[in-house]
Amino acid sequence: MSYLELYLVFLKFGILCFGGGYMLVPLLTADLVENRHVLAPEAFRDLVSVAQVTPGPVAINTATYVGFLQHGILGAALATLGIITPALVLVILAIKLLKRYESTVWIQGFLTGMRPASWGLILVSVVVFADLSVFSGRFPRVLADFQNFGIRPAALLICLVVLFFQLRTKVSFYWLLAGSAVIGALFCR
Amino acid sequence: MSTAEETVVLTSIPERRRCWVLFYEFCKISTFVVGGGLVIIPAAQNVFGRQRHWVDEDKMVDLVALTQSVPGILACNAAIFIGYHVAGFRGALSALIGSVLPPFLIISLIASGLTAIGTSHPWVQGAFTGTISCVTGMVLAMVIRTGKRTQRSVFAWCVGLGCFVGMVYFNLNPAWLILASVAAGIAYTGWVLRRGGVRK
Repeated sequence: MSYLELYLVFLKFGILCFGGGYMLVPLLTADLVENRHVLAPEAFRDLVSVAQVTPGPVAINTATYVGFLQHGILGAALATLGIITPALVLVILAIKLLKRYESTVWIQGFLTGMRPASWGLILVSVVVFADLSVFSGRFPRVLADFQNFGIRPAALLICLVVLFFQLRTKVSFYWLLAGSAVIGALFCR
Repeated sequence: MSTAEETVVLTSIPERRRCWVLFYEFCKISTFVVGGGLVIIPAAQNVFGRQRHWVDEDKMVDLVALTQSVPGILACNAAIFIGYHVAGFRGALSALIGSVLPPFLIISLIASGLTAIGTSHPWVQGAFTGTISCVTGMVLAMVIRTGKRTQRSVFAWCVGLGCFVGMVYFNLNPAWLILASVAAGIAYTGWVLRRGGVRK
């Protein structure tokens, strides 16, 4: 891929990405692995597992990694810039539109529908994160899932303790994260 | 806390200082928070809502709703929304650069082979499970707190649970669910107004 192509490809992902970085994985597989052949399937699997355990947004991690493999640090910068450009333009446009038409039925209706919808989507991500940690086997979606479904006690305990601290105290979540990592390394292996 | 208090807190700090704090706090979040873009939302809510009182809870609910209704990476959208609310365009840029820089550097190090991380080592796996359990608790706390503000009507419960069921059980694309929810919200608001009731 040329420099310009790299930027444009990730610009496209920046627009298509909707609902979080995990949604990006199938898009990336289709385009970079199957269509353009710039990444081998194994390399892509490694990339996803690295992008998940390292901090930061998965989409940024992926863009940086693919860009770096193509053209070194300059490629990484171009791919990352590409993926954040649409966000910068669209979000600021959205804020301006919202302020301007705040009192109309359209914007009030938009917010009336969007507030509970965003609550529902965040509830989905609770299940996604619990699938990776608290639940062994996945959250039951079909009847067959109930057989494999189980709960990891140590992980559940961490989750509940964090929930308590977040709702009842003002302890910084950085301490909660650090503590959870240590307890996880000791008891969740 | 009210919107008036929020404005007082914000205007008492010079803009340049607000931009630096945005950059610094988003850098810190991006360096330490594992689990992808969505976790940035409860993390930012903790830092800018509960600790600094820069964004009040009602405003935060709208910020989150907007973050999810605009295409683009969730983490960047959230950073731009909060940055713009706190310090205008420069704030948006500071927050965005802050949230992108640490993962950019970390991944560049890994991709260039300077740092190897063994993702299969049991200690790493355990620490990952531990942090994701913590993240689950953080997001759950946010669901409970924002739910008190968003889930106040039968309509809201139908939309919220509808989106949940649609995504978890029917694998629907979130983009369609969001479009449908917005359409339903506009229709509902129009209907309530036409009926002459006071909309709440």
